[in-house]
Amino acid sequence: MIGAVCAYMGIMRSNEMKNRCVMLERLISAFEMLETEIRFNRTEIKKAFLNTEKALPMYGFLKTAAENMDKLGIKKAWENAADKCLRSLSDVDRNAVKILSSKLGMTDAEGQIKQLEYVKNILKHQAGEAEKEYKRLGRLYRSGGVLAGAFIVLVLL
Amino acid sequence: MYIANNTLVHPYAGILEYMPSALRRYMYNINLDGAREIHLQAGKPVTVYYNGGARYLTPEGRLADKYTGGVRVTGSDIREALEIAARSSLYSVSDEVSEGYITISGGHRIGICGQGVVKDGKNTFIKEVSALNYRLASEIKGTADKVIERICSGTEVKNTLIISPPGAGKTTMLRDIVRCLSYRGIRVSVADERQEIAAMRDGHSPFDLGVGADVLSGVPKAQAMIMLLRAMSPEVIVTDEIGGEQDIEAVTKIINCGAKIITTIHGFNVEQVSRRSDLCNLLEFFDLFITLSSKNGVGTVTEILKREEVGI
Repeated sequence: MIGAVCAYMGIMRSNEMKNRCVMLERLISAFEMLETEIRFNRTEIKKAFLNTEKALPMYGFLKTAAENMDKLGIKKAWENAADKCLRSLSDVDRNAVKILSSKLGMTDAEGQIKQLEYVKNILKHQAGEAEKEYKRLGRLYRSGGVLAGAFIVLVLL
Repeated sequence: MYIANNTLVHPYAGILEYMPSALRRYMYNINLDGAREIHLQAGKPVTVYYNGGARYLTPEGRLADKYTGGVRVTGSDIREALEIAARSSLYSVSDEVSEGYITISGGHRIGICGQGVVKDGKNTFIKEVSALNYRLASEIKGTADKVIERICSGTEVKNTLIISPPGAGKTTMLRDIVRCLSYRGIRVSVADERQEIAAMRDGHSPFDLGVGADVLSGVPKAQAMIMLLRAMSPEVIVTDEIGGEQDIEAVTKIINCGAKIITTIHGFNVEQVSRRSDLCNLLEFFDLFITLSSKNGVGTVTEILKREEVGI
């Protein structure tokens, strides 16, 4: 039982790291789609969120933000959705996403694109770091969990 | 001539939902009947303009004549109001913002003041917004009753110029003329550059524009008039606030093509408009001149003159 729990925890931690990488990559793609919606179609932000979420499922992040926008305003809706739906991200990643909360929708198209580019660059950097970390520690956590479990079992025996 | 016994239709319908939440709660019980504008400026009291003058919103949710103790607008109120007006998407209405306004549902228009962003000599955006002015659109059916028989006898429509100072009701008059003509079976097309006449939203106008008035919104009016002429074969083209060289060119083309035009211009009377060198050539195209003022209330028709009477 103890061995299984340790192995499970190791695998979970490894999966979390993998999920962070995937989530960051998706966010970058989603922001690229948002850029297109804003730059070429001038789609209203709520519809742009829903269109993007439909084309590229974002763990409900953009959908949640869109649904709460009328009630909470875009700033709070964006921040709350980030906290609720982007749990696999690190605090630094999430804070980068939240930078957009006070800027989204409130400037001209050029300003929007610049802000999205800025945050995208931060996320690309973070994605690179996350990938490195996963390569370095992912397998270690996975096998380390199993080994730690086995070790504890041996000690107890 | 005072406009009386008319039906005032939803003069401020839905305007409260465009107010920032911190101010909205004081406004539920105030009477906006007859209000023309609501003015929000950061650091200043909320001001409601009526024909009789300005009144100020109080923390008790009433309107007072004195501004002291009035509910003051904050910077975040302005930001919230702007966000609501633009549906959190200022970039999607940046063409309107660059012109200094946003049209909202109900046909109301929010004027914007702040720091202009100028590129190549043209204003492209307004940032650091400091004041918003809600111009309340009203549909007053019957506004055109006193003038419609002069404009239209049978199916013959006269080229008409409505002269009016700002805020005297020329757009309301124009809207009612469109409605009357359209119900008489005349094919009317509206070149609504600033979306004031029809205030189309998602393909629909909140106003009664009759049975068959076509509306082209958001296109510069000179271009829009020509597009409508070619595409919709109208008998009458209606547009607001002409004055530029291109507008005059478009009007010439329309009249030469046999269509009629009904439009408005800022001014106090025909004589004053005819003194403007850029406009004197324009006047000869019109058969009828209607002058409006706010003397006895918005939409007071002070003068109706035929071309012969003006001496053009």
